[in-house]
Amino acid sequence: MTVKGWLGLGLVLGASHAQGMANEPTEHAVKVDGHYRPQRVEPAPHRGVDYLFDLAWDSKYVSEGRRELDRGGIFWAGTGVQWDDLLPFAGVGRGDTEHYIEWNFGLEYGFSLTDSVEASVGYERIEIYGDERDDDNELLAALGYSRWDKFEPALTYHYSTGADGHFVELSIHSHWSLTEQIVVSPYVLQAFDYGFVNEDYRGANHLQLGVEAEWALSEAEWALSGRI
Amino acid sequence: MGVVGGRVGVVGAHLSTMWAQGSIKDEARLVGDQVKDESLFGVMMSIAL
Repeated sequence: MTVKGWLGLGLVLGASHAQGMANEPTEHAVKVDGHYRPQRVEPAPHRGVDYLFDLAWDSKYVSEGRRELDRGGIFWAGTGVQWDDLLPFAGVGRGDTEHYIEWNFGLEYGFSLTDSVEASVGYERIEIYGDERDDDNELLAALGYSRWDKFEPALTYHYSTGADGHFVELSIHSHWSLTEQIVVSPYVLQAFDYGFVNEDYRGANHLQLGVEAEWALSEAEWALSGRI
Repeated sequence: MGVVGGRVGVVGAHLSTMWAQGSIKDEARLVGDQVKDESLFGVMMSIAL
């Protein structure tokens, strides 16, 4: 079974980070494995509902230790609605070289365990159209610890009903603000596979090092327009 | 027709490299349980309204 996506969540996390810079956030977004992963997102202080949109491109599609596409990268587009602690989301990925289309639909619920520990649980339905047809259901959970300014440990968990397997990622991000708007975050991640990717494999899956950079745009700079 | 102002937005990029211990495979050259290291990069843009 192939899996992945979290585009909807990507929106949330990216937006969360931006909100943070503008509104003194209580936490940072965390991205793992080149994709955004679930983390609690505080509702905007002035509104109960946020509408989130996201566009992305990756040079390769590597997910949970699998390279999903032999050639080329993948475009992603997603949307979600942050309503208090609930986040219904939808996303679509399309290979830029190979014939591959993946739809993700899901719902996430975020909550705080303590002042410094945020958690989320969610469900995601995955539909894949391409040279091969596939689908899957995933249960997801995430924990993040935000007490330290410079180091942010996180844990993400996936369970695939199709594979009947588990996948766990432990990561530590370090956030460095170069300016008020630009944050650079190197990270280290260790993943573990328990029958999620390989039916017969149990143990360490891959070690990952990465760096992420985000530039938060101010409110007034944005304008979306449409015309019929 | 409509125009809406965006409240917050983020433009980002990432670079990752990973060393396989388990199951990262190159399907085109897969031999048995051979695993493979990977590197990738990406860009993203997010907006919240």
